[in-house]
Amino acid sequence: MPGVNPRNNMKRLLSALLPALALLGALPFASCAASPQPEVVRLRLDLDRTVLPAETPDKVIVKICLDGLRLPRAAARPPVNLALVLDRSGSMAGEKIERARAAALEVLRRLSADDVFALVAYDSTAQTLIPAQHVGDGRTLEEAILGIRAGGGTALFSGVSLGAAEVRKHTEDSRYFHRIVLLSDGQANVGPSSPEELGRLGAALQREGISVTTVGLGLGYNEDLMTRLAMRSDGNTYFAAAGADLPRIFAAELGDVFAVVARRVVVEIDFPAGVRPLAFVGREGRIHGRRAELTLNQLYGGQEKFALLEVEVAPGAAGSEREIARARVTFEDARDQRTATLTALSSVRHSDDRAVIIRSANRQVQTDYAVNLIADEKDKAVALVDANRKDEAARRLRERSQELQALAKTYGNDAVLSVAATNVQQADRLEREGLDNTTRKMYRAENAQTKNQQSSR
Amino acid sequence: MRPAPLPTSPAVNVSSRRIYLYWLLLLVPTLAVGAAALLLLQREQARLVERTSQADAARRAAVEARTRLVAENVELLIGDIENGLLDALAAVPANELDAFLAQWEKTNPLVRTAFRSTAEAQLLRPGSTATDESARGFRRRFAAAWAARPPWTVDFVNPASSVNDKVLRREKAQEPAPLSANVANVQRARQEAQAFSKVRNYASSAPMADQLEGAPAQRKDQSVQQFTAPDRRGWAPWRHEGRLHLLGWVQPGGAGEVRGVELELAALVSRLGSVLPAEVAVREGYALRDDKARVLHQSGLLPRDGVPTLRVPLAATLLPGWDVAGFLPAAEYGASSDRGFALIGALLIGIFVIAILSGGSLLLWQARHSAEEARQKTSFVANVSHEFKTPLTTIRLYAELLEQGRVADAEKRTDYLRTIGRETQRLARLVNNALDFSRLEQGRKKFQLEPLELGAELTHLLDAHRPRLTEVGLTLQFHPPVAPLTVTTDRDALAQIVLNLLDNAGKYAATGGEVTITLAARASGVGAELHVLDRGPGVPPEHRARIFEKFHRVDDTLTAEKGGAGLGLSIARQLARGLGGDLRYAPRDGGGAAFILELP
Repeated sequence: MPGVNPRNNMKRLLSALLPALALLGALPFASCAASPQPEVVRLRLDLDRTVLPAETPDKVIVKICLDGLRLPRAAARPPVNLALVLDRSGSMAGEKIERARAAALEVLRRLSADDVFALVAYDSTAQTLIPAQHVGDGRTLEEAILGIRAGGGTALFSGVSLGAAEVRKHTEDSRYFHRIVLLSDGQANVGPSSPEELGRLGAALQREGISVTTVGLGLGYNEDLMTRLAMRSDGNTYFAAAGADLPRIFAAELGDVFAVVARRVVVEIDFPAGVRPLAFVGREGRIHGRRAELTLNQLYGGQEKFALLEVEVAPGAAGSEREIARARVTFEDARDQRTATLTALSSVRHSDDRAVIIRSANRQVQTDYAVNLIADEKDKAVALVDANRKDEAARRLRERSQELQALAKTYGNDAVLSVAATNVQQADRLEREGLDNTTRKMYRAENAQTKNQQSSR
Repeated sequence: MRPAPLPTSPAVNVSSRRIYLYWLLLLVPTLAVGAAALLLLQREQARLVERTSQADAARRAAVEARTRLVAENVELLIGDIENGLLDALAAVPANELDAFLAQWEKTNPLVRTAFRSTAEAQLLRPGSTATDESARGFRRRFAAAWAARPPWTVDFVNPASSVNDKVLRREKAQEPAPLSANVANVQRARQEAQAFSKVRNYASSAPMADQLEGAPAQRKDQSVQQFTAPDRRGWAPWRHEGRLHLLGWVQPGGAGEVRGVELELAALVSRLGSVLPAEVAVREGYALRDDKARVLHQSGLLPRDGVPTLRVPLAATLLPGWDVAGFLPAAEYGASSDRGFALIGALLIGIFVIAILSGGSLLLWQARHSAEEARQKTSFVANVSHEFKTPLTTIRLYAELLEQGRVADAEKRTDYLRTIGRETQRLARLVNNALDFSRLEQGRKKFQLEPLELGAELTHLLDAHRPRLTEVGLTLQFHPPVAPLTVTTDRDALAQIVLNLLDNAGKYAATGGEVTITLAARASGVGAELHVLDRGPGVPPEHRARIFEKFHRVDDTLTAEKGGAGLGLSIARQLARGLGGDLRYAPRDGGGAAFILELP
C-alpha cells in the first residue's frame, strides 16, 4: 500500500511546501527555539498555528520535536548490549528457522568485539543459549546459533523475561545501550499472552532502559501483542511477510541501534495557566495536571522523533501574546554518558484577522497530526472490526477524514488533504472487505511505526 | 535234548533298571536346577520391581523437594521485592512524597501506580483530575472498592516475615548440581530485585539523588514522633474483575495518611522466571501457575493433560491461588520391562529343562532299544545253535551207528541214510535262512526275476515237501487255479517263502492235522494270491502285529516247546516285499491261521 506510507507523502509534499515553510520561518513569532548548545539532540516546540483567534477558546497542537544529530564517525558509536530472543517453536521449522539463524549470524557479524550479545531461544520453555558476553571473535557464538532447532510451544513471555535477565547483567555499565530483539512467528501459548500483559512488561522494561524490538514473521503471529510490547518499551516493530526479509530487517534494526545518540530521554512539558493539555496524539505520554511527560529510551542519529499534544487555550484579547508551553528535555549523551538538559519555549498571539491566522499555520505539524490521528483511529478501527463492528469502524474513519478535509481546506494544506483522501479509500476498502490477516498486521505495524516515527521499515 | 534255561531276563532287568537310574540322575538335578533358577528369577524380579519403585519414589521426592524449593524461592523473591518497596516508601519524608512517587512511577519497573490516601480511603493521589490512562485505571479499579473496605484496615500478615532466608542456604547444600546453578540465578534475581525495589532513577538523577541523600537526615528529625508509634505496613492481594493486583501500603506512625504502591505484576512475573530450574532431568517439569492455573513460566516438559504430580501453593498473603507445580509422569515402561525380564527368564529356563529332559529321554529310548536288540540277538544265536544241534545230533547218531556196522538190516541202513539226508537238507535250509537273513539285513539280496507258471511250480514244490509234513501228521492240500497263472518272480525266493510258511505250519499247527494251500488270481486281475491255511492254535492277537519282526517269537525262551530262530516269517515277509508283494496274517475262519502272500 504505497499510498499509505506517510513518509513518502511527507517527502513529496515537503518539497512542494518549501516556500510556505520559508515563509513560516520568516514570521516574527517563530516558535521554534533551537538550543544554542552543540548537543547531539535538538529540542524544538512547533505549533500548528502561531496565531489564534481572539476572544474564543481554541485547541492547539503542540509538536515536541527531538532531532538526533548524525554522529560524525560510525566507529564512535556506544557499545550495544543486545539480547536476541528467537522463537524456535514447532511452527518455525523449516525455512523460517534457517532464515532466523542466518539473520542472527548477520547480527553477530555486524556487532563489534566490545558489544555484549546474548541469545535466548524459547519454545515451551525459554532457554539461554548464549549468556550475555562480549562478542569477541564470535566463533563460539556462531556455533550456538547454528545449533538452534525448532519444536515445541511458544513461551514468548518467558523468552522476553529471560532476554531481559541477560540484558540486566550489564545494565549497571552505563556505556552500553540495551536492547532486546524478539522474533516470533506465532501466538504465545505458554505463559502470559495477552497484549495487555506484554505491554505492561514492555513498560516495565522501558523503565529499566531496555527497549524491545519485535519482529513478527509470517501471518501467524499476534500483531497486537508484538506492537504493544515494542511501543511500550520504545522499541521498533517490524512485520516480515517471509523469512527472506529477516536479514534485511535485522540489519535495519542494527542500523538504528548503532545510530543511537542519546539515551534515557525524558521530556517534561509545562503549561502555564490558561493552557490545559488534553491528550497525546500518536505517541503515548503521561499528563499530570499542567505537566505532560514523555519518556523515550533512545534517540537515533539523523532521525526526528516527536510527540503531538493537543492543548486547550483559554480565550485571549486580540493582539495579546500568550506562552503556550515550556519544554525541558533531559537525556544522556550516548558518547560520554553525560547527562544534558535542553529547554524550549513556544508562544502564540491572538488576532482577529482570519488571514493572519491561516497564514500562521505550520503545515508540517498539521500533516504529522493528521497522520498520527489516522494511526490512532486505525488502531481503534482494528478493535472495532475485531468486535465485528466493521461499519462503525469505517464510519469513524470517514468522520476523521471529513474533519481533516475541513482542516485541509481551511488552511490549504494539500498534504493533509491527501492523507484524508487515502484514508477514505481505506475506509471504503475496510467496509467492503473487512481486514484480512495481512492487512491487519500491516495496519498494526504501520500504526506503530508512524506513532514511533520509526525510520527503518 | 532240552537245554538248561539261561538267566537272561534278570540281566535285562538289571540293565534297564540301571538305565532308569541314570535317567533319574539326570531328571532330578535338572528339575532341581530349573526350580532353583525360577526361584532366583522371581527374587531378582521382586528386587528389580522394588528398585524401580524406590528410584521412582526417590525421584518423586526430589521433584517434590525442588518444587518446594522453587516455591520458597519465589516467596523469597517476592518478599524481597515487597519489603524493598515498602522500605523505600516508608523512608520518604512526607514533604517530598509527591515528587518521590512521581519519580518512582516513572523509573521503577516494579511500580505500576503509587498512591496516597487518607486513612478513610479518600484517594489523594492519583487525584480525581488525573488525565493519564494509568491513573484513571487505578481509580477505576480501587477508588470505589476502597470506600467500603480499604486494604489497610484488614489485618494482613507481613508476608516477608513468614519466609525465612535460611531456606535457600539449607537447600543449596542438599540439592544436586543442576539446581545449585539455579541458586546463583535466584540470588542474582534477588539482588536485582532488591536494587530495583529501592529507588532507581536515571532520568533526572541529580535532583532526586539529592533528595534521597537528604532523606535520612530529615527522617531523623521526624523520628521522635515515629518511634512512639511504629509504621503499619502490609501487602494486600486485591481482585478486580477477576484479575489480581498487589497493593503495598505504609501508614507512617500507625495512623493518618497511607502511602502505597500497586506492584507491576507483569514485571514481577517476568522476574520470577529465573527461579525455575534452568535445566531439569528427563521427564521432569516445573511450572509457575497463576490462580487460573495458567502456566506463567515452565521448565522442562509438562504433560498434555496438565495434572501436576505435586502443587505447592504460594503463601496466600503473597499471591493467593498461585502455585508452583511439579510434574513427573508415572514411569510407563518400568513395570512392563520387569515382567518381560521374568517372562524371558522363565522361557529360557523352560527351554533348558525341556532340552535336557528330551535329550535324556531320547538317550533312554535308544538305550532300551539297543538292550532289546542285544537280547533278541542273544536269543537268536542260542536258538540257531539249538536248531543246528538237533539235526547234527541225529546225523551224528546215525552216522556212528552206520560206521560201527551194527546195523545189519539193509532196509534199516537205507532208512538211516535217508534220515541223514533229510536232516542235512534241514540244516541246509537253516543255513539258507540265516544267509538270506543276513543278505536282507544288509540290503544285498538280489532277485532273479523270470516268468513262472505258479500252478506247476507250486505243485512241484509241494510234492517234494509233502512227505516232511506227512511225517509230523499234516495233510497237505493244494488247490491250484483253474487257469494257468503266470507271474514274473524269483523262483528261489518264492520257494523259500512257501517253505518257511510250511515249516511254520509244521512247527506250530501240527495238531490241526491239515494244511490247505490255495492259489488264485488277485481281485485286481494282476498278480496272484497264495493262501496257506492251517487249523493250529492261531496267533494270539497281541502278537499278530509282531510275528513278522525279526527274532520275534510268541514264546522266545530257549525252553520253548517249539524250536526256532524267529526268522522264518520275518524273512518270508521281507522276501515278499522285495518281490513287490506282501505277506500278511489273518485269523482263519473256524480256527487256525491264514497267511496270505500277494505277488504282483
